[in-house]
Amino acid sequence: MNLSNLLVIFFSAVLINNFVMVRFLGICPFLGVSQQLETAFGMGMAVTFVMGLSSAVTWAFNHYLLVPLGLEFLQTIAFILVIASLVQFVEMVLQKTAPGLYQALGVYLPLITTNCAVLGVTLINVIQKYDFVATVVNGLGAALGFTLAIVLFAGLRERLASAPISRAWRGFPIALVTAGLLSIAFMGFSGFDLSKLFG
Amino acid sequence: MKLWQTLTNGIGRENPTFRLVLGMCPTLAVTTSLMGGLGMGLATTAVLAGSNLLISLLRNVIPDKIRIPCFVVVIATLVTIIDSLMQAYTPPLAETLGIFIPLIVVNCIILARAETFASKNKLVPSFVDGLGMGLGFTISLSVLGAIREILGTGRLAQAVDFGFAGFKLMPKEAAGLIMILPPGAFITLGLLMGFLNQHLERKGGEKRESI
Amino acid sequence: MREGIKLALTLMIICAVAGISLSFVNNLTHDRIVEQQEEGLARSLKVALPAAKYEKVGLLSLKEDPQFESVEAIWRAGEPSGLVVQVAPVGYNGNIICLVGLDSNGTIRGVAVNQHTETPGLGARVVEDSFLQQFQGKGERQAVVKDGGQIQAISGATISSRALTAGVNTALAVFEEVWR
Repeated sequence: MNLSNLLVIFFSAVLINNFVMVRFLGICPFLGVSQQLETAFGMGMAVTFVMGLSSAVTWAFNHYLLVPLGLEFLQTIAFILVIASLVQFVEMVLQKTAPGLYQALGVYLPLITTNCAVLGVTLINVIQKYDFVATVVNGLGAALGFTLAIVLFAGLRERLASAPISRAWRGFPIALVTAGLLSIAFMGFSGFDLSKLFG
Repeated sequence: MKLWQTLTNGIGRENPTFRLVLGMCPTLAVTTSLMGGLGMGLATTAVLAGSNLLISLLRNVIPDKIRIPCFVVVIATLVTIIDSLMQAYTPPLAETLGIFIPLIVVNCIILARAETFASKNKLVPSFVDGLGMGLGFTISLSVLGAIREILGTGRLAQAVDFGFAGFKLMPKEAAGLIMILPPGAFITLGLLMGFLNQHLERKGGEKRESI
Repeated sequence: MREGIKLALTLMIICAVAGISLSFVNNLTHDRIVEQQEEGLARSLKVALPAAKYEKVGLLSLKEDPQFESVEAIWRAGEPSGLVVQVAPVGYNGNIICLVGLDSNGTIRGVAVNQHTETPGLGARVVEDSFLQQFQGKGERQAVVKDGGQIQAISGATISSRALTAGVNTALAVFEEVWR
């Protein structure tokens, strides 16, 4: 996998096939943790760390253990257990090194385990038959795309919070419609021929 | 009868999509058609009912400290079984739903119900709760899928791999393609929720909390 | 300490039971899944070039030539003899995996699209018979009308249409290179 291939994978994950806006992965935290810009960014960073690390570890687990033993059917269960363990690990680390962020994220931190984007990207890496480097690049790209989407959305929602919206529409309804508009904006990236850019 | 209430709870009062706002990823992703929504809903119902049943069965055996990993193992096992069965016996549906079948594992509805209901209740109520929640989910997804399909393609109930082109309800030219693309998903769900809230408020007058 | 061991043991037992049930179901369904995939491929091969038998051929020498980068597989067909080429040109939103069947004269007999992620209602319409039939009977390189050729592109889906045309052209190139 040469550099241009990796760049294509990266920008594809961040913009063209943005995990939240196009692939619909990671919607729950996208809707749940996007009320404030700071928390959204913190969540994005935590997810980036977990997704990068999970991509690497699950790839190794799959490549060195599951495939040689013909146990591919255990992928789903093995990957989710790896992710759950990594999130537990991140929780412990954050508690010691960044207690402020740990408090702010609250219950949403263990919920990174159920973030479909994390399990999703590990499965996509396997389906696309990426090698180790491509896997990590894809994982990080996906996470940064998630961060981009959630931060943009948080910015919009902070504005919405002070807008006069009738009670029935406040919260999720208006948030979803706004997300739809953001999604239209992201559609502008599709059809972008990355190979022309990176040769 | 209390069981009936448990069943209808998942369909109406605590509908996972419109009231609990759980399981959003598949809700937005596979509802480009009625069949997609229905298929995903039924697969999820199977896992949900099964997992609630098993976890209720094991509720006195699973130690509290490691209950989440145990739940995850049970759920993941059921999902893998459903995944294999679908790939073997309903391949076109499996291909349409794609990666979202294994992703049923992280569908927050299942873990949430295991934690709040199945681990604390007997077998039959747990099973019924799983069934009810699953049905509520299926109905929500099917409605969303139907709306997007009709407004997006003019047809309903297309099942191309079974040779059925769907009921033509509207000329194709009148349909808005954006409905079956990502923005359509967000906007349709948002609008449905908003209108539902408005309706409940008007009807209510009680302290019905908008989502 | 004892509690820790008890916890670990419980988790291990649950994992073991899970593993065993999964192995069981996997054995049950594995063969059928492989069968389905082979059936799918067989159906596509027949659409591309109806023949009595197909023999997969290695790609080796082609892989070094950049013009054959999108070629994924080649089959020699027997009775009637011909070639089926699996190409994966880059479409609007990912690769479009298609099978192009050529008879012994190098004329295209059929095109089957196996897999794609093009936009529904637009690029996805390249799978329609009315579009793909345009390639039948052609023996030279094709191009869409916009690029001076004969192929009518799907309206609003120029990129996907161009991609499929490119795939067909690659298959023609493969035939020239490989057929003896």
